[in-house]
Amino acid sequence: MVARAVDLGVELCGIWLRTPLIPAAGTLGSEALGAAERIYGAMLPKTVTPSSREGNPPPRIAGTAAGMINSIGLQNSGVERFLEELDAFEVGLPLIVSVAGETAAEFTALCERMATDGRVSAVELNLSCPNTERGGISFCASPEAVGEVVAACREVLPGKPLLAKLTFDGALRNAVEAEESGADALTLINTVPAIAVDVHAFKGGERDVFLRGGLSGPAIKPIALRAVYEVSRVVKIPVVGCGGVARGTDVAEFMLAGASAVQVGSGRYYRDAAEILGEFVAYLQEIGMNARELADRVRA
Amino acid sequence: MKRHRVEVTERIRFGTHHAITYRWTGPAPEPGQFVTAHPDNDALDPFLPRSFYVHDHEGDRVTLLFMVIGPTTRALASEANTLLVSAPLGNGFHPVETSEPLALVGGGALFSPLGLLSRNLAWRKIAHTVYIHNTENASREFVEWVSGRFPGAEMLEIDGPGLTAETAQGYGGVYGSGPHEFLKEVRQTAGAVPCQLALRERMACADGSCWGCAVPVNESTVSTGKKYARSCVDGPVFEAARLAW
Repeated sequence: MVARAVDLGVELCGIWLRTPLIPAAGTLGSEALGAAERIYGAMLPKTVTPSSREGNPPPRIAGTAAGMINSIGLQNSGVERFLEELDAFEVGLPLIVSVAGETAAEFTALCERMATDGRVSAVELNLSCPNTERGGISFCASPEAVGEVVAACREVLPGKPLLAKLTFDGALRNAVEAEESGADALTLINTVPAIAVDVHAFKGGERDVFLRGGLSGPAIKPIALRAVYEVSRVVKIPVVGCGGVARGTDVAEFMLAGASAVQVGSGRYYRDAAEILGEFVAYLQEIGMNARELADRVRA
Repeated sequence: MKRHRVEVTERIRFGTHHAITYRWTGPAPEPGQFVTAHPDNDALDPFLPRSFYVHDHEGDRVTLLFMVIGPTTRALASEANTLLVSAPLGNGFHPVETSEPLALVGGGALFSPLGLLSRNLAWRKIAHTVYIHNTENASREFVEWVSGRFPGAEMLEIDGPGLTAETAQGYGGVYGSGPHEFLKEVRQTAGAVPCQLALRERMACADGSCWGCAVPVNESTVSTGKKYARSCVDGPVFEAARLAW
């Protein structure tokens, strides 16, 4: 029997994605695009900040059971260089740009740049970075801060969808605030604060024993699913699921939980993203639905 | 990262030291290149593939050499007949213009990439000496096995006096592979002699995307004077003079 062809296309705030997969910010670089246009529905480069950032000293990575911890420190070349090099991500897919600032004004300035750049289809606000105007705590620690940034960015980004990427902590309150302040979609969730302790480094005394950073991978998937499930039942704007997608059924789980599209991050280090998409196709064939039908069925 | 399922053709164990040989018909690895390896199962632990230097390549066989320390290496040291590996990755050792012989300096089991380098140099008829250090904690069988890994070298010295700042002057280049502190010593010993070091940074994506395997390098164009390169695509072999250690 010939397997039924499935339509993988989904819609996200008026942008048509040919598959529901989007790379999570910072996990798919321009040198690794390969056949990205056959796997993903949109491109999403590493988060850009106003000025260049050197990033954190190594070690920056620790493997964990069912995941990994990273502490990269948003290393990037700053917005000017980012825009000079952005063509590398032009693979015929919509381009979503992830931006981060330390103040609402920095976020706004970045959105102003993206507003006038014809290559950029949408902007994702990385709201888990420290807010220097509020003592360095994450923007996501305060719904008011989330609302302030989203509202300011919404104003300077006419005609382009604005996504707010939120942490699990405070997801529901922040989601409601972001929607009321003009966000067009939400990305749930960012990495979860965690620490790795390297007992072998302790014995050898050679490198750092502790690595504090953000946990990603299948270890956080149930947490991310919970956030998507609860938030998508309260807000009217679409939700993009993110956290631990490493198999085709993970994509389906997020869509059943309420996501319109799904980001793949460290799962791509564990599996070839093409394998994840292939498994998702097999799942859709098994249940006899297209991707959009799956998303719409749940949202309805 | 595209993963290839490969057939394990040989496993050699010496206590915690483990050599895996598998069949490989893809692109030939260059000395100093690495592959990522993952057990061929659906388990989520270990989650990240692990990067290993190619220790040897002959015909359609590739050999990796490692010590069994954590969950990943334990899983890879199992009896499985297959393995998931990437194609050879990264920028390895590169030739130096010299008529002098070369020195290859390895620390413990981490001398791994010097095996393929020695094979390559012997094939190109370039004289070289191999110094292996810090095998005190290894079994006698492992040390005997190591002594047979460099048939093309002019001389192989295991746990001898080693390369000194003085003897280094007689070489046209020094190639090092070993633990971080060991490589610092190799760089110091090499002095002004061109020196390339095979680094071992923790990697996640292994394709330049995540910036996890950051290596501090000297770049005068950056105001801070310090900048990070990526071990996976800018290395994993670096000119010693470029490293901001």
